[in-house]
Amino acid sequence: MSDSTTDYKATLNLPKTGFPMRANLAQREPGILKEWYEKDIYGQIREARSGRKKYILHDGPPYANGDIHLGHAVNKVLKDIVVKSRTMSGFDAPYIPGWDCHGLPI
Amino acid sequence: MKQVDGQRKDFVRIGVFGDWDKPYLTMNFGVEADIIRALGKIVANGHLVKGYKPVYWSVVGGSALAEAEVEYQDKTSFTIDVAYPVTDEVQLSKVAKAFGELSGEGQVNVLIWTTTPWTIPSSQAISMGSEVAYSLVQVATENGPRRLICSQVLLESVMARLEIENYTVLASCVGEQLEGVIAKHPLYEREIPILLGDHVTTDAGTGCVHTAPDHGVEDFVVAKKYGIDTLNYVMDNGTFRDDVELFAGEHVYKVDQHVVDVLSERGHLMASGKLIHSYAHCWRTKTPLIYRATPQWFVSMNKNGLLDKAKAAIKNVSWHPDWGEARIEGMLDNSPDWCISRQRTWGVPIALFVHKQTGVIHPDTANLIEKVACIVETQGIDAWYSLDAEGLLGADAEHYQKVTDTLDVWFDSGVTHASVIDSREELTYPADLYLEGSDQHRGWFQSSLKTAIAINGTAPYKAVLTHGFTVDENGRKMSKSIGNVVSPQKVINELGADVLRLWVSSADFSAEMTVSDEILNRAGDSYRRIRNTARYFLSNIDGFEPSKHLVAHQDLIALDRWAVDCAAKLQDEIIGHYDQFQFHQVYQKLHNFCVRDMGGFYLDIIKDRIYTCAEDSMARRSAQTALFHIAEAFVRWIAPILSFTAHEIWSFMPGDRTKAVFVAEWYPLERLNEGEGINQNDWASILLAKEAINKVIESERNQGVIKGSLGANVCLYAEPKMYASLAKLGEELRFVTITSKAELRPIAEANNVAESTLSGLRVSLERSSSDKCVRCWHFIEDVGSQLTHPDLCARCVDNISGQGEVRAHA
Repeated sequence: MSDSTTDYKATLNLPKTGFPMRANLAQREPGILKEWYEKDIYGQIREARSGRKKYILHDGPPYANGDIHLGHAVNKVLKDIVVKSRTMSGFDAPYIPGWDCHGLPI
Repeated sequence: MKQVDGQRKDFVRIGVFGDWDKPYLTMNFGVEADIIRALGKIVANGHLVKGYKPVYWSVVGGSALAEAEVEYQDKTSFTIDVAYPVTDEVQLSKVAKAFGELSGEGQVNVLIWTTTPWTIPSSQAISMGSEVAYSLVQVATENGPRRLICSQVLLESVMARLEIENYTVLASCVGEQLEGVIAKHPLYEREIPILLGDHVTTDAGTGCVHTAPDHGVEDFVVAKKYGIDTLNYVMDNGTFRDDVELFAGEHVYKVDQHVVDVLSERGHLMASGKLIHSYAHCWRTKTPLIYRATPQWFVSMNKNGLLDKAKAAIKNVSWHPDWGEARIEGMLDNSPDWCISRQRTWGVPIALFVHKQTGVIHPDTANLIEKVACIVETQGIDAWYSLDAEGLLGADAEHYQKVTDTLDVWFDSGVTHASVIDSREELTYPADLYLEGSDQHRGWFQSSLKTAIAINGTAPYKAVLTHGFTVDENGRKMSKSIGNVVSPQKVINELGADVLRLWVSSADFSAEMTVSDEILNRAGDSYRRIRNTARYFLSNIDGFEPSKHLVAHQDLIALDRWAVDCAAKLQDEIIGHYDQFQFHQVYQKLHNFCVRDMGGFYLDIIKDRIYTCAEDSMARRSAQTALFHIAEAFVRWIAPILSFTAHEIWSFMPGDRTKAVFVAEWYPLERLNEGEGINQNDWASILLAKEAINKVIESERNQGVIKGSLGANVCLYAEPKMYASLAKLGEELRFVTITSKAELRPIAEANNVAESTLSGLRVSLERSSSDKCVRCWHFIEDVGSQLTHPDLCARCVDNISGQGEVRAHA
């Protein structure tokens, strides 16, 4: 009985994937960043959208001072969501980040 | 640059895409040159004026400040009531005339009240309201009888402050009648005329406003009307000039007590006390600011119609949230001429030449600015200070001098629409969107608008989006002293950037954005749900090659066509929400899709087909085709938010594709046709029924009647409309209910069957008495009907050694 059950199990198409259940984002993300940089994904997007209608989100320059805090992160993530979703909609949406360096005697 | 590198690293780490190798910096020589050019255009368009005006002055920084650099903090100040004597016979006769007669006894005094004793040395007038009623009041003091002039409505509060219980009102008049009376300064031999000013109120004080044009904008304006100029007693560093009697060399921060003492000694101090009030402070040094008259450069709001043009332009901008428009309009209405000059040793110079005698800007400024800009472009801003004027101006040089003031930093950032958008080839003016915190209506949105109007006559943006600030779960701002600061670096290192990004998307950013460890952990749970859904898609299309196995849409099994339709409908909504910046709606709907439509319905039902039907059967390939299409769409939906995870999913997707999901566009999905056998209304009914059936199964399982849903036979009693929808599933109804047997009957036959959670549906359930098929786990009468496979049901035998079962609906 147990033998036959095992045999029948081989006739089932059970789910299988290399995509891990556990994300381990903190460990995994740096590797993905490296890949994005090495494959120049930003450059590839520009090339793919070349000649399309532009969508310009103009970055307001934060002061180049100290570590980023949560407010900075929120602002940049929201901008990134806008730019990436507009890109997905077919726009050529370049994003040029900026910094204000005149607020300080650098 | 070290600061820029540090911040850049963090922004890149949270997955923000951009031209990080070539950002714009306001300190780039090219940007600096364009800032100077922008100034040149504003001069050419007639918006720049030179003025001598009290401006917010930081005595610590030794510099003028813009409104946007001012913040308010509580400060303890002196409050003093000071008697300005009227002694001259001619003046007393004017007072007598104003009040009808001059009865009573003792010196006649105009009583003023101020919170800034240090401005008394610069006092040059007293302002009164033309319609305000004033009383002449007889009082007795330690120094003998006096007759005080002050506001009638404030009289009681004044007497309380002066601690005078017995007083007599001798006569009354209105301010207009006292105009031109000349009192004397309490400390100096100086005439102090009574003026009429619109700024006088009877909210507090005495209704008689001591007026120092050096140290107040309203004072300056009213004094100017009467031809009274500033005295300029206070120097850049906040100390009195050497020739100021009594207070030479003393600092405005420390002189108050001295002023009070001298006033008291001389018998002019009628009351003194302390007051805690909200007072203007320098945002950089956190020190109290003073108003101080200095020569400055202004972008005029009215000289060439800047205010009107700006107010017209904002109507064509789309503001998110929509109250942004009213806010910026209010800011514009209250916006004085913009003081763009600073007396700092760093920053972009106001690269103008002014005539040594007349102070007028050189007539050839447009050309000169361009020449200076070209020099700055290669050598940076220091070149201005070492610039040889003769080289540029020739013989004119001896009559002109360089302005050494620098530009307000808000000017630098405000003109990025010119210095960055106009000068970078990949950008186009005006921008589609500016997106910053909601404090920027008075900051960058405004400085950008004013300069763009002054330069181009148009707004620099088509839309403006603002977000609220982050607060803790008690609504408090993040602060080191409270200890509620959430560090993005810590979140990234513990939960990952994608969880941070998911939290950002989940918050309604039009208001304050609440964050705490618990909220972030909830985002983590939600992330796992999305990840598991994606994992389900991927694990069930294992071995699926779209080029070979994809089933044409019209050939899909009805349930699979519905699933694709469900995703297509959601996709339209998601794209709409992205377009409207409603990311929390995207988040919410994604979550519901994973939990309800997929996790709670579709994915559960198709397990049987994917696991048990033959590998290459139509029944299985149809479900895989739907999963493949849905996964293609799904990975794009999440890519703007969960960028890392989307990239990871993308790399596991079968079929030819670009190197990254971000290069792709939305995935086209087919909708259900109008004339479908099982239409959208049917599926909506089926979904509702399934929910109610699940609850019955769950309850029976909890009571131990069955172990799993496949152990049950159910009978559904449905009202006619629902009956019709469920009947369309035919024999395959049991696959949707995930039971071993499912019968359908009219609700009229329900008799004693209990009501379900859905009106119009009753569900009876009994434990199946049949044997269990060891392969598909259904309890079916035909288990063992094939002698070759005594443990299998007929369906499974067919699937492993026959033609394979045929499915039409589910």
